[in-house]
Amino acid sequence: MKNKSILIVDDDVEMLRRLGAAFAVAEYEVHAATDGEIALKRFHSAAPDLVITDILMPTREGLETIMAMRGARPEVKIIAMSGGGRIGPYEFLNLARHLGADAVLAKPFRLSDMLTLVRRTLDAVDSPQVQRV
Amino acid sequence: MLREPCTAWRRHAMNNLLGKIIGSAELALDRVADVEARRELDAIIQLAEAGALLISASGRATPPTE
Repeated sequence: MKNKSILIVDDDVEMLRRLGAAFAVAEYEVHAATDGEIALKRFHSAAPDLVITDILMPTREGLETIMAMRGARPEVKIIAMSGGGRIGPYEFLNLARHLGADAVLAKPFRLSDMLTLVRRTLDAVDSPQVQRV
Repeated sequence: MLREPCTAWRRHAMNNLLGKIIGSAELALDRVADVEARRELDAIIQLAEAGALLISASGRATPPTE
């Protein structure tokens, strides 16, 4: 059976490396992108089962990326992560959920918590989840 | 003692940094068998998580008056 594939999007390459290492050990097929623009190209070429995206990124930020991916492939699973921040009164992670993320996770988090959330999100049918917002 | 609440940008940067510290310690835990070293790595994770709580609390704190 083919391993599930994950696209990780974060402008912080150190964060990408750590998440990539954790998912590779868990035997997921890992793709990575350092901004939303590159992520959309990888999204179309690799057709991942799940996308994990940061919110604040150069070129094309996470909220816009989530909307574009959700529009292109409504069935794809999306997890948003952020170290905090808001637009007006709205927290980024709450906005991400409203704009199409299946689950959100606030930084800092344990890699093991992210792995658990990924498994749960991939297994879920259509139930939005929130952790540690 | 922090005299000013963290700005959103600082909180974001600190949370990113703490996330990487936690991730590094977790990845190291996968490779280290020595009990003492594992205990120290666990402590790093817990300290980083305590730091995240402080950052979260400092965002809500009122600066002390003179």
